[in-house]
Amino acid sequence: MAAADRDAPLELSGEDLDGKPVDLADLRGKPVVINVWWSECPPCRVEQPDLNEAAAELGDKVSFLGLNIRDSSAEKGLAFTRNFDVAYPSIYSPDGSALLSFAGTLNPRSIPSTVVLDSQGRVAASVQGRIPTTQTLLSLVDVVLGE
Amino acid sequence: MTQLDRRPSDDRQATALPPDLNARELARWSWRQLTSMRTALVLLLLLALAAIPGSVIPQEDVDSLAVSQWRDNHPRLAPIWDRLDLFSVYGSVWFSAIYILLMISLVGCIIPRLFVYARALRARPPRAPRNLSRLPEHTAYETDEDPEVVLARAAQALRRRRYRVALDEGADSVDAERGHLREAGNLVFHLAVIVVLVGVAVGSLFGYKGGVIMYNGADYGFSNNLTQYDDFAPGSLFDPAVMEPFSFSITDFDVDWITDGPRAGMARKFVAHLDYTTEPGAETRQYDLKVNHPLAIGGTEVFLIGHGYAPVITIRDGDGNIAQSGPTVFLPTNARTFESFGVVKAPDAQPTQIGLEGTFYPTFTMGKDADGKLTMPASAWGDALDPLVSLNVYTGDVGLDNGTSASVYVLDKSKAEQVTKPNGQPFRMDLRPGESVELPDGMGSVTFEGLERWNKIQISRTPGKLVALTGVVAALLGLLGSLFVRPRRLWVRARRRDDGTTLVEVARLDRSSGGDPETGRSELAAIVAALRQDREATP
Repeated sequence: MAAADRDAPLELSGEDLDGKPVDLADLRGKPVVINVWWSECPPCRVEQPDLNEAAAELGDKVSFLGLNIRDSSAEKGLAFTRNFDVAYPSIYSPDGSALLSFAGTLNPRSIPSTVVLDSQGRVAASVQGRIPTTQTLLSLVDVVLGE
Repeated sequence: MTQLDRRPSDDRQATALPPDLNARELARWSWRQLTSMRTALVLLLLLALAAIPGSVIPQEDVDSLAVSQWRDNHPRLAPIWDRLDLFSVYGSVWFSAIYILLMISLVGCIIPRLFVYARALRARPPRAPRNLSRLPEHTAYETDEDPEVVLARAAQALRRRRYRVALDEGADSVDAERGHLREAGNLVFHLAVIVVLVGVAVGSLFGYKGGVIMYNGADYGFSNNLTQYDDFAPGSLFDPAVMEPFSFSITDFDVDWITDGPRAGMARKFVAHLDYTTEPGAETRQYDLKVNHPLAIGGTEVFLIGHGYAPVITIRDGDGNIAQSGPTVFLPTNARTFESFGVVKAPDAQPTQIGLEGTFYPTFTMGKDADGKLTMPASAWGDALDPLVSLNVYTGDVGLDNGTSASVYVLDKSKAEQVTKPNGQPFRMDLRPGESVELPDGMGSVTFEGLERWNKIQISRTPGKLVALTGVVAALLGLLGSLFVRPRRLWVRARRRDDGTTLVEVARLDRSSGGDPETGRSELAAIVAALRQDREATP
């Protein structure tokens, strides 16, 4: 999505799986990759290593944020992040209310979904379902980084 | 439906295929068949018949769970049902075909009739037949007034009776007609049927219906977006952008169990107490959700359709970490005792994945056979008086790692291995709330912490609903009009006779069949009385 067509910056805050507060506003200035997941979703389990790889490759240039929306407890989410060595935090929102922030912009319609925000926090791109490859995500981020 | 009151011979003519039709005649013949009353009625009947499987066979968009259970129970029939679209009757080709044909038939029948009606409204009432005394309802009297005076008074009297009246200069009769509303009622009825069909179609094209199973408690909630639905059936032109951003949670759930009488054990009343907001940041409101008393938020309706138990089960893995906690939905397999089946998956347990599968008994009891010997464990009651969960344990791959979507209610055991006791018997644990069991081989432990409840909520948005409702009301009014309005013609003729007196003849023609002759006679008498009374009133 071209920079001129993007909607207002996304407002999103909550607590991560450890109960620490997370606010998207603190991540402005760099692109942000948001991944919507839950631990019993098979495609999420398949794509997590790809996301980890992308996060490692992009390093400090980009922030990553998970959005756990269906796990029955934060502990169950933590078991997943422990198991898959997920390096970035995830907002725990079992009722999915965090997703309502996306209403009207590119909506994460299915699990998993991945959304790329530009450095101002505006939705720039989204992938519905599993990201096909690490490279797909990297090239989406590259566009935003190049602006 | 070109003609409501037509003779059987007409139908026979319309049905018999005349010999040697060319393409154009065939087309015209087919069109006439399609738009005939008989075809429309047959189509309407077919539509009603076609809706029957929709209510007998579980429907994908209503209860996908029931469909998958049905599929499991009928492995041979299911593919055939699939091919016939019987799991989604209302979206099937054949149902749409009936629907569309019915629409075409109705439209094709109404449009010509509208023109006929418009012409009839503007047309002058037909002139009096030459011999009024031949009509079944007629009367006559003599007077010494001038015919012109009588006719003028007759015109006035008939106008007062809301007849449309024609009195030509120099004519010897007043021609009057009323009851056009019958045909209007007819047309309104037909149009209203179309409106209903369109309204229902709009609802199913642009609307959606989804279901979600929600835990009770303020910690759990639902937000209206696609990821939150367990099953979701959008219309083919549905746009997710129209989904209203409301959210709600079930703070409490009341159920009344009947404790005596023949229906003992059944649930009497369910109330789910909701806290809801219409959009993020809006104030929180309360609503008591009952069966058949939906909560309307904007154009969306929230229904309570079911309830059940969710045992809270914690799995600690071999490393001592919590691999699973929180409630898990168990689905009732017995609607009366709420004996329920469920699956708990801990795909991130270390060193090996753990899957639990088993039965939950709200009020645990051992069944007894006729001799009083203990048989199978069972649930005595739907209420949770003595809850117990009985679980088998699986390990290995619980079926979540191959990337294809899996049901949360089914444990894929194709790559999992059942945990057994040293003697080879399945390792089974029976847990009451608060109890814990260590799993063999250092796999970890399982704790039954307690019990939560869940509700099945259905959420639907049917944009054309009001249109359809308006259509139904209009159809009813139209039908009343077409049943109770009696179109009729009335003529008054006044002629000077040779002896100087005037003969006044009044005749009436009821154009609908089955009228009460008494009504006709009394109307005639009233008109004659009006004509004569008026005369007595004039000096």
